[in-house]
Amino acid sequence: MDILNHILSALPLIFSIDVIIAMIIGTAVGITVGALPGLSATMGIAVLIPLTFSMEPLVALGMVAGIYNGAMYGGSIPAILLRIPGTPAGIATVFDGYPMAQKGQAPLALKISLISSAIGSAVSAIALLALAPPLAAIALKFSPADYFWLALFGMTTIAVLLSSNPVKGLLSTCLGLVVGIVGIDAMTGAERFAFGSMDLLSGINIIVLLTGLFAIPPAIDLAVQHLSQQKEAPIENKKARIRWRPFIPVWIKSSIMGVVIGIIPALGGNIAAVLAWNEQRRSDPDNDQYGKGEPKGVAAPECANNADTAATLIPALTLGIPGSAVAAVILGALLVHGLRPGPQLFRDDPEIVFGFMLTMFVTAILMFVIGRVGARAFVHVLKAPTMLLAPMIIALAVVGIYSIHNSMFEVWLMLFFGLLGYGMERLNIPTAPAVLAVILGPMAEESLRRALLISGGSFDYLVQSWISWIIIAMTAMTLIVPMWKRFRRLKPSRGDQE
Amino acid sequence: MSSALADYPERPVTMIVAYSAGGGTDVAARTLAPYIEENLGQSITVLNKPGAGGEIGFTGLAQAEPDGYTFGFINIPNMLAIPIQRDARYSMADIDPIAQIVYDAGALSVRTDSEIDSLAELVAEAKENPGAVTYGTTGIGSDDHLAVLSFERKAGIKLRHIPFPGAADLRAATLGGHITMASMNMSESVDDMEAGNLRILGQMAEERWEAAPDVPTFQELGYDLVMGSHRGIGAPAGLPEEVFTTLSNAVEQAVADPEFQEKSLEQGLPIAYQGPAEFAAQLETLNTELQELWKEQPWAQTN
Amino acid sequence: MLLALLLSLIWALQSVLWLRKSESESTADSASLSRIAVFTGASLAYVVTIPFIGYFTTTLVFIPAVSSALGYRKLRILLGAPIIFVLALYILFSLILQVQLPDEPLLQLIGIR
Repeated sequence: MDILNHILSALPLIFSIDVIIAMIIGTAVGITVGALPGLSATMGIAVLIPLTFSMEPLVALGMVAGIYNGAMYGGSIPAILLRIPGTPAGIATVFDGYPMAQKGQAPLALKISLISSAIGSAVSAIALLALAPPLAAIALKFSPADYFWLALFGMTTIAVLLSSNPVKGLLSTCLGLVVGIVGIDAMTGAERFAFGSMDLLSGINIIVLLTGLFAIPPAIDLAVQHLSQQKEAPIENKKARIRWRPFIPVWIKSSIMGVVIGIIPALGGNIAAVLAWNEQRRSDPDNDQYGKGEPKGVAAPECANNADTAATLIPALTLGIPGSAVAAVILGALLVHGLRPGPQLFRDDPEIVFGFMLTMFVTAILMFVIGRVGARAFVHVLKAPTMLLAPMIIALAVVGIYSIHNSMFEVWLMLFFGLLGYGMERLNIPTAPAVLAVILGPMAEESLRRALLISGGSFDYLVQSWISWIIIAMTAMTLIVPMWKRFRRLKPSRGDQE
Repeated sequence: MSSALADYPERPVTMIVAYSAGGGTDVAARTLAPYIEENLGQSITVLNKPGAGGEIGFTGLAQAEPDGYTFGFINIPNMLAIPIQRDARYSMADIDPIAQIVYDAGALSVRTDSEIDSLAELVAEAKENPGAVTYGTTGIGSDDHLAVLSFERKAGIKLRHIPFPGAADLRAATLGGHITMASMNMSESVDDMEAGNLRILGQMAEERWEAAPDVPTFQELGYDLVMGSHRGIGAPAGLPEEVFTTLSNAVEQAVADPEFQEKSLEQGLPIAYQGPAEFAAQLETLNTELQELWKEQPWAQTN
Repeated sequence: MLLALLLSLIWALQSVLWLRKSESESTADSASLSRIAVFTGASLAYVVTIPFIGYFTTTLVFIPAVSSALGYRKLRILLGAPIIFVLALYILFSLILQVQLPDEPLLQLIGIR
């Protein structure tokens, strides 16, 4: 079999010392970058590209693979420990990860996150190695209409998060939608809410919003805590054995979701995580612990966002179409090394391509090893006095945001959202819906308008493809089933009263 | 004062790239940078200032000190189009062109299994069903979009524009059959052509490209249309003469470097060097054309 | 689109008013309020200063200043931890990630660019 031959011939290449060292360093840097709020894999790899100029292609790619996988896991560390997602993909991990930490189950949550991430990455790499061409073909079938329904499906997650307090949740969502509108309209070129400011013209970067809303309020909280209040959450018995059996279906489902979302161009790890968490919650019959510290609620998003990683490279390597922002940057890296992404990449440089895929797999395993050290180190960070931690978080957020675009404007924007987020927290308005709305709102709007443009205004286009129908069905189930359950619970009581 | 100029450059210089790291312009810039470094004798720091379609980077370039220690990559038609379509914070007069590095001709492509076999058929189809043929571009006001608008004018047809966030999404939509045609640059289309996925109907250069000798030019097919994406180097206006000459010579030699030429070939970059005078003249012409196009068919909503 | 925006803004406004009516919020005693004010004010001053004196310098001052203002008194850690922290940041951001941070006039005096 052709693929097998290529894999076998590429195998010895990646086990050279240079590549191994590159993978190790890459994974370590990746986990660090992922764990620091404001920094993301996209930025880490983009910055690395010029540094790798003088390296052999496979060495550079090995490092890239490490950073990519590592960052996706790293984002969960502060998400669990501090309620601060280190990367946008970590936002869904906050939902159940932080409550677990508050219950004293932080080491468990971290362990679950690590294993789930490793499994997701491994599955993704295998999909990349074995199924790249057919999966890429599926990716192309997604029309703008399908993207619209996918965004809508993601928004049902927001509905779920709102269920405890709809009005406040909606406020948060509105905020997110408005923030998402800022910028140049893709369909008409008109400027929306830019107020004549050049900096706002390209829209508000989601990392700015995320870091502002999620990193600053906890920092302020830490600063405000009185010494007497500084309680350490009792860490549960570390030796407790967890039963992994129940997690297997979670991993299977989330991996598949992660891979599917990964191959769809323009959708990245954050969407995979959110949709996986939502779907896991929906399909679990015993689901009222979700959002309050359910371990599977940590496993699902972490598995999915790591399953997304290698999958985004599938359309990238086979067709030159990146499956996410990170994949786009990686394509740039390939270009720099003289590898033209696209149909002829497999023809011209098969060993390097397969070698790269193999490094994605190997770094998944490396991540598991290095990740345990990273997590432990971070837990110690938490033992630092809160009054020192608070300004440190601010300092970190500032430099993290500045690093993205060399823009002080964005730093100020982040602080603005930080104060806003703190206000929201005091008023008990949830911040997660805002972030989700920023990610999904523009996607939904743009896709809808593009779909209508293509169809010439006819709404039939929206329900033409079978993919659309699958997604519509899933959305309907997510919305209708809980209502149906509630309805059925009401009925018997009415019968009693008669 | 002049003694300091005579020793230019005495310290590292900055090159501003108006687009994100990892993108096409960024990769081209970073590939060229080492060769300019060699000829300039100082190291170059690449500074990415993305946003507002390039306006942030171009403004940064326009407002920099004209001392030769800051220059940048300029993208045409973007740099020209932005001040035309809105109140920009810079104007053409603020930036002096130093050299054109890349010229990537525009091209129209369809899927290989499409019924449209040639440019002539496209025009016929469009005339029969005005506004029905969908074409995708990399955005409102992009060179792809402007190229098709010009083509519509010249051929007297009406097509339906579907904007996409970038070349990748555009290719995905075309290959997936969601739109009929793609307006992309040659460097973005040849790979698919060679793999048999896309058929290029025509390209908008003055001569055929040696990397794709079978693709006819629009001029050959009867339409006087030469449009594409130019990438070059510019500096803030008002550079002292010696500094300007030193810089432009360094760039010229960098582009001529056989190693760089080879790398560009590998990356599929169509190199088309033009010196300062030539490039400046071409920009003037392009600018006038764009202003006329805007008057007849403004390509973006102004509010 | 404009309509949708208008509607959601009105809705948001109504929700805020409804909230104000139904909740007597913000249980914050004066001590907490002053800490919040100190912290926020210091952070804002910090960010304002960065473009002038450089990131590392201001951070080196910011962290001990705020920590002690909030009540932390262990001198050794107050001075030692920020130095280690800033050093780590320097290695990560300036050396490894090669981020272009605002110029540091004070550090340049001692010879660090």
